[in-house]
Amino acid sequence: MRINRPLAFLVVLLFTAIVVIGAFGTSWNTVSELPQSPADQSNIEGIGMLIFTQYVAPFEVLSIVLLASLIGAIYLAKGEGNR
Amino acid sequence: MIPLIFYLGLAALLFSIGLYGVMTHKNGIRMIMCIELMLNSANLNLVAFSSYTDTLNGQVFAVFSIALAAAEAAVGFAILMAIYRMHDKINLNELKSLRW
Repeated sequence: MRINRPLAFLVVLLFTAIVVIGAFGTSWNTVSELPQSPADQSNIEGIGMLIFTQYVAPFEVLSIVLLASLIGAIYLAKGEGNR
Repeated sequence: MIPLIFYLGLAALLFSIGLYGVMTHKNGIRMIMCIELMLNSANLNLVAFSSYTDTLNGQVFAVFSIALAAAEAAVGFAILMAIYRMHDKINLNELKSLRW
């Protein structure tokens, strides 16, 4: 199976053009000015509050996923037998 | 104060570089690295929009996404090690079977 580099470059260029045109052609209704006094709000504190109040179920599920992936990676990398 | 569109353009560029790498490289480790590049461009978009809408939900989602990317990379490298142990090759285009 050969790799067609110009075709891949063309596809990636097309994808980039589509994404950039879509990003530049949209008027995002966000705030235009960020709050310039970051001393009164702590980012990490807010993220911690949000994780342990609103997103506590995804946090627990993610802990289970990480544990399962760790066990699976150890099982795969250890190989079959030959201890 | 950087405009939002700069973040979006950088993320699009990162995603395109990762996509080109996935489509052109044959080495499995390089392919996993390019997949991580694409995931990180998506995280950059999440954090940029979270900052520009003055909320924190996007940053929390980016934290979850980074943790999932770590798990995925660990499992992917473990699978690559198993493949290398079985077939003595990492070139993903030469693996024509899922047989034992």
